[in-house]
Amino acid sequence: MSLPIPARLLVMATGLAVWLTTPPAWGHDFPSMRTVVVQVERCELAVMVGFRPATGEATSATFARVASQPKSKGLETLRDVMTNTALAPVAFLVDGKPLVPTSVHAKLGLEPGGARPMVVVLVTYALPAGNRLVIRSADTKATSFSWTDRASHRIVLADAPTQGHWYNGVASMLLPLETSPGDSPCAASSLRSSRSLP
Amino acid sequence: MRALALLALLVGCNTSNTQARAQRIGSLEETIGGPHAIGTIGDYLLENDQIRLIVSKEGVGRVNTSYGGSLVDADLQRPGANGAKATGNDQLAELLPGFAFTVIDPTAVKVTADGSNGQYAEVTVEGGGGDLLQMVYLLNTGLVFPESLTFSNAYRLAPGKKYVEIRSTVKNTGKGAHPFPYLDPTQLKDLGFDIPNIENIQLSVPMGQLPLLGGEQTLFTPGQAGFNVRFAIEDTYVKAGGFPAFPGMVVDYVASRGVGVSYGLTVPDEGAKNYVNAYKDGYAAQAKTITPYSMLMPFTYAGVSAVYVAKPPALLMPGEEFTYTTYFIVGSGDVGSVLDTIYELRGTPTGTFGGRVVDAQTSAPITNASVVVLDAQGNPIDQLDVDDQGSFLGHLAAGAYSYRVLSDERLTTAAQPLTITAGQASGVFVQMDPPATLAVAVLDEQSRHAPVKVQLIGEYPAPSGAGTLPCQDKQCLDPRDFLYSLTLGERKRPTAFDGSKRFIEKAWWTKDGRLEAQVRPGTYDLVISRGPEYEVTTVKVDLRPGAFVAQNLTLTRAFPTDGWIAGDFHIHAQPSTDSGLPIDQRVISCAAEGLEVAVSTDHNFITDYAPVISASGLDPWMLGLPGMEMTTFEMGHFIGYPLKIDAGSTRGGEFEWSGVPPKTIFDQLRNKLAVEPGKGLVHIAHPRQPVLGYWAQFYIDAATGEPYPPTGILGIFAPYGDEFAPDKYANDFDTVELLTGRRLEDAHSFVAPTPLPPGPFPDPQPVAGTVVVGKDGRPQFPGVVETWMTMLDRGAKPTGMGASDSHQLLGDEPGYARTMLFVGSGKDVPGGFGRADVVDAITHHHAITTNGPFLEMTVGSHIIGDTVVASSGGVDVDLHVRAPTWAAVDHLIVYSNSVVILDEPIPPAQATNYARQVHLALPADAWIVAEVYGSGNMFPVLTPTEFPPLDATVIIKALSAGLDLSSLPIAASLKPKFTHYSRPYAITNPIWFDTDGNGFTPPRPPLPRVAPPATSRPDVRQQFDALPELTP
Repeated sequence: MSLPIPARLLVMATGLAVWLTTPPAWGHDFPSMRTVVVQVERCELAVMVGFRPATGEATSATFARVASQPKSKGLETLRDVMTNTALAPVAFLVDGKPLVPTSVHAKLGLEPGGARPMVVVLVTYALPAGNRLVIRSADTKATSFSWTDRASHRIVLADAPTQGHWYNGVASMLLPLETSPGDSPCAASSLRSSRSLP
Repeated sequence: MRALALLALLVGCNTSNTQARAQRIGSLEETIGGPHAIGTIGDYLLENDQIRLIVSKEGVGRVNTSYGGSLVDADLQRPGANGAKATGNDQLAELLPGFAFTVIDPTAVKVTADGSNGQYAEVTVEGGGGDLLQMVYLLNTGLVFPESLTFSNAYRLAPGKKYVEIRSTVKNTGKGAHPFPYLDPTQLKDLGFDIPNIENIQLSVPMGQLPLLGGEQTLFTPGQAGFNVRFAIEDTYVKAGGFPAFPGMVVDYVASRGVGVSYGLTVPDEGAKNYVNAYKDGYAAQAKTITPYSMLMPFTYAGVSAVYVAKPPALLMPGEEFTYTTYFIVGSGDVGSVLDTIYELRGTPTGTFGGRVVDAQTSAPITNASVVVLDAQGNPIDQLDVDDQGSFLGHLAAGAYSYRVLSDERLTTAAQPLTITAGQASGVFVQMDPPATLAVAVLDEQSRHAPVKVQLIGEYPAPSGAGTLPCQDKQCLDPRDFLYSLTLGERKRPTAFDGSKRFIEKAWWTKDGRLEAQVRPGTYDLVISRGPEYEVTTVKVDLRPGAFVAQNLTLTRAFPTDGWIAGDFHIHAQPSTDSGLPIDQRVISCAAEGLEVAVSTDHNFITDYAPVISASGLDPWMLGLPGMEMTTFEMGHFIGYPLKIDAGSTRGGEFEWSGVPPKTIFDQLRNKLAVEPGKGLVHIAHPRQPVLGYWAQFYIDAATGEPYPPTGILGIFAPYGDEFAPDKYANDFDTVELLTGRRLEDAHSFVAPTPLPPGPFPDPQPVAGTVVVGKDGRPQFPGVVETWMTMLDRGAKPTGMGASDSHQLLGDEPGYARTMLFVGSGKDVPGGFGRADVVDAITHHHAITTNGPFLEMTVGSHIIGDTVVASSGGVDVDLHVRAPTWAAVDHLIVYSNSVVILDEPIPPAQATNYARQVHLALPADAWIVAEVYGSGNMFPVLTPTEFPPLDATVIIKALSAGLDLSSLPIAASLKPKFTHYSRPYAITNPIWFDTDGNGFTPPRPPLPRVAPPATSRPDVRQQFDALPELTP
């Protein structure tokens, strides 16, 4: 059974959140968890990825890599490692061509109790013209997708999966694109709004 | 016949050359057949020379629970059943393993041994964990944490055996050790269980089986319960020893009794795995003898029981498995045939107990007798049916017993001693006192042999002992203790529940007013009735043992109902898993209660009464419409009609209810399954009933008619699935039940009595005479009528209906409540109306909900359901209520736009015929509804609610024993009385008034057809910017 995030029940969601952020007790094994929220805008995809490594060896390995760095670089290294791990299995393709990030920003956090690091990454992609936008994850088990359209007029909403719904255990999701997205100069716009890579 | 079969076995029937086999079903001819047969192509058949079983394929559940992979059909082998479907006798609803409240969400069902090597055959179900109830999701997560586990269930059938061995396995697929319970109590608190004292308890994880043995089967457990399982379990709650032992009843085995087939559950001696033995200190107060085979029954609810047998290890290491074994037994109809197999399994030395039961006057065999064997303490431990020669035979372990013999129309015999010696036979000859014979012929006011109900009303002698009648508190006298014995398997005999000593000895529903029956001797009132449109006819009869008494009687019409027909749009029969009532008895009972339309609404089964109505000769009296109650496990019950019958389906049609939102359910009932796509009516059943009601489960605010997020512990126990999101709530149903059965307490929001009973009460403090509200300010027990009126205020127009939800007969009669529908003047005669007239009357709201009174409301030539163009000066509304004397009314209330505009008593002299005019001022568009009440007891036409109805919250209460759940409505000390006699009630649908000629404009903003989606997701850039960052 997956762990759906019940949008309807604030209390339930809070309970789950408390549980998920509870320091793992002895004998408890929490898997890695990645949430991907894809926000489709007129010229860009703004994607927020939240990630926590699995308890146990995975977390230990992450900390071990950081520990090998000078102390002053510790957080930066942890952020890079976590960001790369968070983004690695996730890909976005338009008509089969992978999109390249135009900006990546990450913020680190720690679970209450400090047992596991967490990272939230905001990554943007220019959204070219095309027929099909595919969101893909190579880590199906640990990844939950959700998508939302911000009046982009780029997605054929009638044929798209439900917005705001969490899709668990899904390897890929297809969002059909409008064939005529309009005449705005998206490429220039997206370049202007992009931020530097870390 | 069973006796003969056993005899054959004793003389050396050799089964060594038999074979078991397992296969996937490729043809319906390979299925079992029978009242609850659901097996179909693609399922898995497991059979040997003794029994046949079907395990359903993976996917969604097709019976009652959410998932496939369960054992859905079971029967004995029936020789000659080639193309067995027509001749099978499956009565099992469903059996599935329960790992606490985790069930298997199957990913694969497969034949793991086909039996071709002469050994066992086996079908195995594999999968992940699913929730039996989303409502207990958090508890389940805390106890089991199924995410890092896989589950399997292997059904293994050996040649020659009447039982299947079920090996249920849980495997840790995680990387770490998996504790049971998964979380400790303090973590449960963090999980959201903000329940006082939870951190101080130790929990355990019971595992076992969840049997749904079917409505035809009567549960039996040896010991204090006997056939009184439900109440006996509830009695053990007060003796609960506390956690880690879960509350419930300890039993040595579980069996059932049915016609031609019975079922049983037991376990092998698995030592430390046994759950009850692991926590035996917790059960010391109730279980005199805990054996290696003890099992725990924490609840039995609506045909669903739990039988917990095993305790998993405290820690399951990565890759490690835990397996426990249960035996599921198929018997020949009585408990004894199940117990015989249990003795065989346990290797218990036995002797035989046989005999013959005859009438003391005629020496004729008594063919419906039941022989109940009692232990030294007088508790039932076995039950044996007699065959068509009055003979019985069974096995018993060596020891001293006694036995009693029951037959429905005779007095139960006194206990007689019995000694059994291993390897020896004991025989008895039983003579029972003769019954009386009663013959009745009834004519209606047109001298027709009309369908009628015939009842014998007795008066019991004053019972000994202190106490009060009726039974409404712990000091009461309970008719179960002195009038009949549920423990022995006697029928309930409903009492008047009004302080008198009247009770119903027996009732018959006749198709033509003719009856000849044997009855228990006594002096009775013979009462004839035919629904609310007739008075009751009563004569006194003295029925002596062996005597024959005949009566010719006539019915008297109470009032005319030109143009109106009576319908019940929510009734069950044998195809429902929780009703064992044959369809012919169901349709006869409907006609005898004066119904003219009967809609079959079996649980997840589309039934057509028409062929049976025709075969019973009831065509002139009643129209049958096929329908179904789409029964979700916890979203509510949704009825659709008229539906078409899919002859190729083993459940009358193919549909889906698990995990889908209401819209999908509505679409299926309205389109896919309907006789005329697009014209199926969607009917909401008992909307406010916890767990089973749509409005209860979606938390519909009575004041707004829209969903609200529950808070506190209600939120914890709320279903979590996407299908329960507020924006999934749909209000485009066609009809809703305003009164279901006898549950008049659900009609209106619960008002605190005046004066208040002694407190203390949780905050907010109740105020006498006002609606009791919870912490969130909403009614703690919201009424159906208030919510419906809110919908009317907001422009929705669901037709209010009355329905019985009847599953049985006596004590659960069809037609109470009912819906009166106007089909046109002169058309309410046999053949005068058809399906289209019924649908048309409902869609135009020409309907009255009633359990007796006939309440008409008119404005000139306009009737209930019409929209009247009226001037702003107002209108005069005519009200006319008529009732039979047994349903006299005394109180009239009139509402307009949810406001009471008239509330007055009805003079006693006009209690059966009262008319008055009400002037309604119309400053704007408005609707008007009228409602009447009576205070009298409608017994014996309508029986009381003597025992509180069991609902699913009992499960939660049982599992939460020792915890403070005072904030739950179910635990509130101030709540409606669920036990009461039945009193008259009727409510109309509205007449709408359009004052400006532009159609009806509702007084409040229209209700959105679909609730708006939950708050839209915020911009991810803003969300990201708002996040704090970890700094050195």
